[in-house]
Amino acid sequence: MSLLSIVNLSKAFKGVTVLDGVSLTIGTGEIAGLVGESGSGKSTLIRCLMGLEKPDGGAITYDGIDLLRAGRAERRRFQREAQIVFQDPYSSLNPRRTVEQIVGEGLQIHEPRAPRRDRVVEALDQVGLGADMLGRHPGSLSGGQRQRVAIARALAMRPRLLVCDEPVSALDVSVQAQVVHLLKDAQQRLGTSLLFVAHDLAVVGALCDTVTVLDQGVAVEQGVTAAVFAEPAHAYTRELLAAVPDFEGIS
Amino acid sequence: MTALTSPITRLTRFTRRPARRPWLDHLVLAVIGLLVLAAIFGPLLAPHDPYRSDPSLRLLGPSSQFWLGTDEEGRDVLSRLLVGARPTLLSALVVVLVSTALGLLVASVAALGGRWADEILMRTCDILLSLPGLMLALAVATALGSGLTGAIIALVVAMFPATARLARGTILRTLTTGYVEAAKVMGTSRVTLMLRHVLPNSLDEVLINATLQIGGVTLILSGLSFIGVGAQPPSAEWGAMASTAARYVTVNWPAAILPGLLITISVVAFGLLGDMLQVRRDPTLRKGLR
Amino acid sequence: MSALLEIRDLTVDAGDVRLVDGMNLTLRRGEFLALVGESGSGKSVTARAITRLDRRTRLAGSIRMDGAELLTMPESELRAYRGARIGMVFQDPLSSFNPVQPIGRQIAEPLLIRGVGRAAARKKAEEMLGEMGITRPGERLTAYPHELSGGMRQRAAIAMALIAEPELLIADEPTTALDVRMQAKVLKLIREAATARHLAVLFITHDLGIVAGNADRVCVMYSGRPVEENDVRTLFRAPVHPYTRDLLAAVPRLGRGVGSLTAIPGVAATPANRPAGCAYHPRCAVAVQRCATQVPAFEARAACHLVEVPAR
Repeated sequence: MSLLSIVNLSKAFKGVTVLDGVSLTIGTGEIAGLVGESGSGKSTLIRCLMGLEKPDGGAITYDGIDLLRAGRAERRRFQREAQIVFQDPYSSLNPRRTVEQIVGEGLQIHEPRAPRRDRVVEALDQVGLGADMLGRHPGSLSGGQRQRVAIARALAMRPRLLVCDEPVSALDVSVQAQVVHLLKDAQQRLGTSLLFVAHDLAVVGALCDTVTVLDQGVAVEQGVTAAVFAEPAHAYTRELLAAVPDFEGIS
Repeated sequence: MTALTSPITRLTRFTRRPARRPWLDHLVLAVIGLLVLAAIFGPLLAPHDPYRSDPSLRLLGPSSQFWLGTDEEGRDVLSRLLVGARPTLLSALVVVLVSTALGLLVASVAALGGRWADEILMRTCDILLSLPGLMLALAVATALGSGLTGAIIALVVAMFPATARLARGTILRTLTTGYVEAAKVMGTSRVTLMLRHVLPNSLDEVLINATLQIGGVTLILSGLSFIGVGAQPPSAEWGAMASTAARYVTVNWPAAILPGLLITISVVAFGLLGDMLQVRRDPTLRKGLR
Repeated sequence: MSALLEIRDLTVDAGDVRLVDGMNLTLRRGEFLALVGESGSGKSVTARAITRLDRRTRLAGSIRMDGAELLTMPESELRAYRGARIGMVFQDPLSSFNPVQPIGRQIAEPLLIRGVGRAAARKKAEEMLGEMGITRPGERLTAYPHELSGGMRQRAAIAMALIAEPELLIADEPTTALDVRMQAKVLKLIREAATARHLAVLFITHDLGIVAGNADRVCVMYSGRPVEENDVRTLFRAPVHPYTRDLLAAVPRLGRGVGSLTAIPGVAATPANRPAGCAYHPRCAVAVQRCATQVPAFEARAACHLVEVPAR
């Protein structure tokens, strides 16, 4: 059963089409990859999904809720159950708040009666950070630690859908793998569905069950990741795959 | 983002040393401390009653009884200078605080309130900005009658639009940052969003601007008093003091020169304080750091 | 082949932090050397030390180009090296261009400074853009930086770096800000231009994958120190330093699952909090007691206590 289905989503900015009838479904507990270069429309798709942008046409259905026509209560349920991790951990955390305040913000809004500190510590633990982080400010953390705090902020809500907008591309190589494992872990333990946006096909290949390739606002290719990567039907997908660095030729 | 920050910005993290001229910073802080002390405790410190005139003591030079001499009505100049710190600096502070608060309020409403609110508020600010500030101040002061209150209101009206513009710019910039979007996605209410995420991260620039303004406002207020539109005699406001004492400069120079000198010192000190804050916020502004 | 660039015992200090601690590097003409490291590894700082771009840092040791010592050279003499004998390309091409001047003028600038005539310089700029695979280069000369795409801007920046026919090209993460397909293209361009000119290239990157198919030699840095250096085949086939091995295992590759992706525990050591001994020892799976106290010397091809030094 699909948790999220996006149908025929369109969006134009000042007459320039950014999304042209893109459809996408994510099943419960599934990891869906969304691949494309800058200008492909992948950020706009996410912004429309999260309600930061209003699409011109199409429909987004989340667990039976028509998000584009949802009432206040339904909207709030989506805000509670769907969380996002942004690309740049340096700008996605308010520099003036402590880690505890940042991670607990969603709980404060949606579950004010939940034992907040316990849930925050639990979420930090899930991303491999100790309770000693609670009082720290983002400025004193490394990029990898910040991104883990951002993931903890999402996990604290025990989300059913986790949207990750290039969550590893701003991180050092040695830390990228940590974050990828974290996400995989969350999906397996909590049964969370993931929408994983990336430009690095190697990561998508490793992590995602299905993949959608976006080129200039159009979904040019869609399917099970292994099948798409093994036999790309579209020239653009082939080019992207060819651009992935090849270690095997050398080692 | 580790990969996309330039080595320069990363370097500044390691090289944030104390300012290159720490003695100047200390001096500025000391001067401002003294001015603030005078503004608070001036009346207590004053050796004589600053308002009691005594024709028999007119225009005396400095002596052991009157360290800085007396003015044309026989009042102690030192006492008047100490007492005058309050009306002079406090009124400047009031102008800056009120105009900054008003500017922030207008900016917040404009930035968050939708296109119409934004248009109306900002075009109003544009109109106010197009009027020459000093003329506006003079006009309002004349309409309300001469006096410090009139001058203060006039200056607030003249100054808040510029602050509103500046604040609106920084607020709009802060609104596009990741953490504000993250909060929006989470369903944070508008007011919380503003108070918790947007304003605290937009205030730096506005507060630095306010500090820089204190000196200028002191000068304008004193200027208004000097030409007789602001504080009125017998007030010990420094501008008014300088104005009346100017006529007797040949007889008792400290009474005429010192108020002006204090005004100058205040203006420079607050200007430098603003610079200091700015450098603290952005160390790359420091000279020689390029 | 003689060495064009020789860095010996370079240290770079900023405040009381040692950003680079004992860097050694030799670069020959016609050689493509990749300097690889994570943030805080000192790779960019090393590259910038060559032209002494950061005045806030204190440099010690020796950097020789063609026998001439760059570290002690007067600023006026060094200026003749920048742009002319040493070309530079940076990560963000937008910052290398003045936004209010057409790019043609800026690409030709290194020639104009050296007294080449306007028409000749313009012609050369057009040639260079053409060589960088930009179509209708003549028309592009009058474009302003913001009118070009990121990839085109970076290619224009490379054209500018190469126009005065330098002997050394320093490229500091030139592909990081670009899209995947453009990354491959720009890399290929740099590679080809270098081969055609017998140019020495110092290529700074955090991305091992990008290095694999393009560099001749690779030097890996960690926390301000070189940890391993070798020709690219050997380094990828048989890395000896534990950090290099861990790093290679942490890079996702096509056709492998999440399971084969091994994360390195902990946080990269920054120069400001560099552990004693081998800087990598807190994260190293095979570290022994000695690693925590003694800084390993760089011998043969790596700086590690556990690597057997082959007898010569």
